[in-house]
Amino acid sequence: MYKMIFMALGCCLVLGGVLGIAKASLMPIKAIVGQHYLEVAWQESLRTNETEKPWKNADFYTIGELKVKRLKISRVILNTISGEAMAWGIGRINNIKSKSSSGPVILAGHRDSHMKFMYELNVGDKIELIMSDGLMQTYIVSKTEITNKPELEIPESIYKKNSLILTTCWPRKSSKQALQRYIIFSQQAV
Amino acid sequence: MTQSLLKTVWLSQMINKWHLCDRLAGLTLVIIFILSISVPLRAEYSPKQPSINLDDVESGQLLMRSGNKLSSAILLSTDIKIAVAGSSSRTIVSQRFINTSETWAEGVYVFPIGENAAVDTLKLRIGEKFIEGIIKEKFEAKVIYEEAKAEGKKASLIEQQKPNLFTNNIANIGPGEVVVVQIEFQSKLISKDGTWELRVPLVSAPRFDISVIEEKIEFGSSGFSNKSINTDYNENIDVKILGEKELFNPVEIFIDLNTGFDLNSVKSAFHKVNIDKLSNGHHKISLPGPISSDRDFVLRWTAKDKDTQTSLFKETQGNQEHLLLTLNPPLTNKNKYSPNREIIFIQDISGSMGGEPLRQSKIGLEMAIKRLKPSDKFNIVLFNDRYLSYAENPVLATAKERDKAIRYVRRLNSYGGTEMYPALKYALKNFRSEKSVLKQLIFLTDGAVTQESKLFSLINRELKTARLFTIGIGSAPNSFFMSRAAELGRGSHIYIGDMDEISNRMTDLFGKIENPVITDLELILPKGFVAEVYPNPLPDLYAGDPLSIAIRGKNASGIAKVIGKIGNQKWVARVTLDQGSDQIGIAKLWAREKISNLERNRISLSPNASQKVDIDSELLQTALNYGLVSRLTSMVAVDKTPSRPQGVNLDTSKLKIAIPNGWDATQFEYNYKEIIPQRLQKMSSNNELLITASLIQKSEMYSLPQTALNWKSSILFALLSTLLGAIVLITMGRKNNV
Repeated sequence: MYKMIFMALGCCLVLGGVLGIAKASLMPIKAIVGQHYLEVAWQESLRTNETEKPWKNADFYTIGELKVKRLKISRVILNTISGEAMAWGIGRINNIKSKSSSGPVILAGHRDSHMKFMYELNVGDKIELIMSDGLMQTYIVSKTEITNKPELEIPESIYKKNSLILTTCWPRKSSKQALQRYIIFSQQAV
Repeated sequence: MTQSLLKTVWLSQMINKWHLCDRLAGLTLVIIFILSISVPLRAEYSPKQPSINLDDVESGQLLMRSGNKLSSAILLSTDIKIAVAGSSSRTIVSQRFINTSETWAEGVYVFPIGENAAVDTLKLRIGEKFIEGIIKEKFEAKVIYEEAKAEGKKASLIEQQKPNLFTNNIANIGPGEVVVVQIEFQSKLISKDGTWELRVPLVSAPRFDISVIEEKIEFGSSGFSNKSINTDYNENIDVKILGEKELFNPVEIFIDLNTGFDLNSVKSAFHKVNIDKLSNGHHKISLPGPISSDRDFVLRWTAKDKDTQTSLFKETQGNQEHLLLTLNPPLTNKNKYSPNREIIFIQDISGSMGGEPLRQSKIGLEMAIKRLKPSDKFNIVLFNDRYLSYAENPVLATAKERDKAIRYVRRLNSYGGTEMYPALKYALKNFRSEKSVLKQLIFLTDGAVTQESKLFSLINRELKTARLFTIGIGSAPNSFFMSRAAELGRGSHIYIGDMDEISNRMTDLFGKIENPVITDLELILPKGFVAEVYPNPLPDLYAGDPLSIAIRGKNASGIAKVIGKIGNQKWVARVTLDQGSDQIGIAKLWAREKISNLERNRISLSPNASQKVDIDSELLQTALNYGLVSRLTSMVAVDKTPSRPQGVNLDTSKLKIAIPNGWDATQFEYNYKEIIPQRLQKMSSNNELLITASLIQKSEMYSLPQTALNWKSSILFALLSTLLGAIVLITMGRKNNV
């Protein structure tokens, strides 16, 4: 009798494992394949000057693009950091707050997919940013920082200047819930 | 039609597919858990919200702004005097602040008060200047203020930011200067289950865990410095409260409680008070000494005779009589009658609800379904960019059906966009019961909506006898939309931001709306008496709620009737209008009620509607006539200090302070050295008082999301499980062969 139970258990483990693999591998696949659709939507929104959803039932839209030439990185920026949006790309944290184009652009993304490149960035690296006005701005990485709390306080001295801030989780590799954050500050090149 | 049906079927299939997948994965998870390894399989996403909305400011706060720098003003003292007369109260709050910065500053004083309060007086003393506010049209007031500010004059401006929140800007406060702010407002008191309650907010929202008395507030980028003049409410103002240690804030409270009827009891809920009984209906309540403001001050009283809770007060202004009628309908929880209900839940399952918001929302929905009676009917409408309903028509909430619905809810996942309109329209038209059944629509969402006005006009058009209750979920719901929607839907709105609150808040709401209700309320005035009556239409009354009606007309006399329905029964109350007793402040309450009513009507209109202009002009006229701060009117200060008499020495320190007539000298007169706490004083070489400056830089605070998919460990993990399963299968297979 207990054989049957063990057999069933074994079957469950295998089946569950396979499904688990499928589900987990969907994440990086989503991250890669999604970028393509996001790119299409982003180009379209640049052309039409209207917000474009990458697919019909998405609950987010594209607002910009970020490029790091040295690392051959290109990322489409989404308007929100909802769990759904972050599965597909990187999002702008302060999208609603700042009405004007001045003030920092603060972005967040998953450390093991879209924002992985953050760990490769060094002070002095150039980041190119295109927002919905279609103009490209170049930023230079000025500082990297690890914070101990999941919050970011931006003093007005920085806030007033045009800056780009990238954030992701820290430590780099950990399976636990990360409490620390890795933050990269960059200033607009003049 | 078929197309939408097809969509619905597709949606439900999608949901089912995902459930299967999730369940199997879930099962594996359980097994893996048994194997005592714990690695999270999902990316966690739980944003914290360190900044709070202006809605959450619950006690007066003052900030100093000079140039780019913002410094906290220290609150030296607070004195609150409240005169209760019948069913209204007049509150006078006097506070002393000090500008601790080293530069000239602009102060911004934020004060939240009850929704039905009418702010009509502002008095300020800044240093040696006395300033009193007068009511002006908003734009005009702003211009006067800005001009005075630019010229370096002392000036002050009270603006309404939201119906229950006001700000007061004070220009040109010198370093070390003391500011005395006195604000007066008239409020309506409402009894609940026969008990009257007066609440004095003294502390900020407790969930921020601030053990101290005063907080610093900072304003977001879209804060009050906004130069443009906006006649709409600014919904984007964010205020952040930071904990600040060792600030002190003694509060003194004095209440003159003149109810006009005999009292059964008077009690202070949290503080020790001295009660001085002048007569059965007149008490003076004071504190033995100053209290620290770590909790609200609450005073409750009950009437000896239940009948006296029907009251009528009046005030004549010009040739108009203003009446405030309060009735307590015979509805208590003891009432055997319990109405049948038809309830439709609308659940948002769009992508933005993903994670915590949906989880909370599902718990809430489950609780609501569990509470249904077998004789109630219900349905659930789900929506993202499409919609889908649990049943075609509302079904009876039998135990079996409830279980089924709960299982259905538990399986929900979030994805897709947000299209609220078709779902709301469907739900509004889904009610099937006859008229006497209570129809309630319960809307759970994070409120990420566009085209609010389209939704408002839909609610207005299709509501009929139904009532809409909105429940905001998650860290940042669109509370503007949801509270307005509930107002239009003649229901109520609650916001649940914290998992710990969910059970209590839901129980409160459902406890209220399950109970009997008086509907179709109407006031029938005696023949020949033409009057303006607010609120219009009269709201439904739930158990324990009193009915309060504000009336304005000429020569009020005769018998008015209030009629309504409890289920199928008729309810009538008769009031003799000549019998009202005179009471100061009723006219202002009437005006405030009218303004609220106009605001409600306005939001149901589409943004371009021409009626908006008419409503605004009527609102402006009412606010100006009655001297109230509103969305369209502000209070701006005019310098009232008597000019320096000829021949008096210019040495200002010797100038005797002349307090204007009618101003309360006990509040506005002070000895500078005596009121400044020791710790703020440093004696300099000149023996002059120096104030230690504490400057903080203005900054913005953002919460950063969890950003890890952890897909690698998930894969590893699943691989492990497959391997383990395979080993088990192989070994078992071998044993069989042997």
